[in-house]
Amino acid sequence: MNKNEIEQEIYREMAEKLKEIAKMPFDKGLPFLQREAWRLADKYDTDGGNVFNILMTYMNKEKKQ
Amino acid sequence: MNIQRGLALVVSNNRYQHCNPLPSCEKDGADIEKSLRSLGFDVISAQDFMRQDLFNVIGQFLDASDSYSTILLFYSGHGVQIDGENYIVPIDCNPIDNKTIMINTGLVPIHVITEYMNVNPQKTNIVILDACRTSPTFTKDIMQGGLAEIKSGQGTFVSFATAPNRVAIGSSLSSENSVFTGCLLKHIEKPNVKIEDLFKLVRNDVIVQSGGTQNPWESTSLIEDFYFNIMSQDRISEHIYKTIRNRGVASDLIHLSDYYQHTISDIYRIYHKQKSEKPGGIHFSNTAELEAYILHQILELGFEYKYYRWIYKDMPVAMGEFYHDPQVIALEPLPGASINVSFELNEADVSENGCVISGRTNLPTNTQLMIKLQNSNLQYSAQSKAHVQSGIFNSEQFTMNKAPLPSGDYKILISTPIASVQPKEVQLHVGVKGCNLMGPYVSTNIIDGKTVEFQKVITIKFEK
Repeated sequence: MNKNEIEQEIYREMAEKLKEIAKMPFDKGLPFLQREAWRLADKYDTDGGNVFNILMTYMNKEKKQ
Repeated sequence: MNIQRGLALVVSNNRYQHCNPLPSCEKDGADIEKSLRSLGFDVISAQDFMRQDLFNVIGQFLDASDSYSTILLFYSGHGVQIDGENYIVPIDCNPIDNKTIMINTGLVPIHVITEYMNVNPQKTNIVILDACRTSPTFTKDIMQGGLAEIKSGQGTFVSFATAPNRVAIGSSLSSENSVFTGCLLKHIEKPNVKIEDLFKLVRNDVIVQSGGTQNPWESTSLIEDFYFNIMSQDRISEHIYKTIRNRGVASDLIHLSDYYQHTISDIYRIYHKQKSEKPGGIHFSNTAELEAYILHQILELGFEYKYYRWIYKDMPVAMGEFYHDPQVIALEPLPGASINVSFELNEADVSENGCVISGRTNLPTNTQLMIKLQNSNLQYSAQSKAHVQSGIFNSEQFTMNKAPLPSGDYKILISTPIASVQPKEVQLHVGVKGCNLMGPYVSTNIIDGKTVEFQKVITIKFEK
């Protein structure tokens, strides 16, 4: 997979998890989101911070579209 | 030539039959062997060998050496010099007064190996001798303490644990390395360090650890550069990235800086560059912005810039240079955390009991304030402490000799003490040294940080 494909895949997986997180109270949802970000970072050899960056960037893109 | 980096003969002698044992030598040999294997050397190990066995293993080593481009001898144990010639002392050596008999029956001359090296200058030949130790039974007239200098032939590097004719420090514990080998093990795996530079690092450490009594010595005639560990920049960058990614604490940065011989700021730059190249990586288009970010991260990790030098837990560290002045950047607000300080005074509450100054501010709850009321015509000056509660503050009653304040114009001065004496929850909001405070009422001092100073003249009218 190239970088772009990895980013799309991370966003797809993260967006799925967001549906679960949306139903959680904030104090449970935030650590869950962080754990999920690092899980994906480990899976795709990147960084937890970068996963959040992908999530924000792609969400903004979708919003604009 | 063999595809391995080289062939090493590691000889370590501990259990001497006729003189004092050297407990640390066993560990020295085992640790060096492990280290050399991890660096890609084939190793022939000889631990606690008798004289004849030692000759046999040296014979095997020299036979096998033909197919290697690098050959290395490491010896840890008793060593002696007789008439300027150095000898390994095997464990069955029984010291006697006649030096000819002693040489021919009890000792193993090091020149057996160095002669082979001299006739093979095309190879990289390395001799490391941690052997310059004295023994109570080796104090007879025929021998001198320490080893003699070996004149290395072409293509040979010889390292002694101490200066010629001086003795080296071992350890009486089998769980510890000798001073020289311990320092060598600390540095030998450092990547891309030339052998000459590596032994300079070892020498510096040994001199410090031995209090200046032991000074490792080298003699070199190597034709080409030799590195024990060669690593590509990509591998170094990835290792730095992985280490900081997984833990990212100040001690890791200090360790990486020492291991790769880079400054801490460069280590962090490498980490950030590597991170930005991963999927979803954040790129800074402006160098000044990136450098400011890196400096903030370094300060958040607990490094401090004090007295014009960088320290961590009161120990100086090799931080390197930054694009920005650390003293200035340390006082810049963290992104998204700035507080633009505002004050709004209520009308003074004047009564027979005195005058109360109150108002609103956006400073965090529990911020300590000092409210000062002055009137130069009346030569009046008084101050009161106040705490911010949900954006509101109230002073105590201001009076003049326990009587109500006379009418007139008064100057109000509201200030905060330095951030470090504010309650913890306030410090979390205002940041280290109050760095998050901003606005016209904030004054900055490089040493104390940011404090708030608000002034206003009000008119107080007291009517009975």
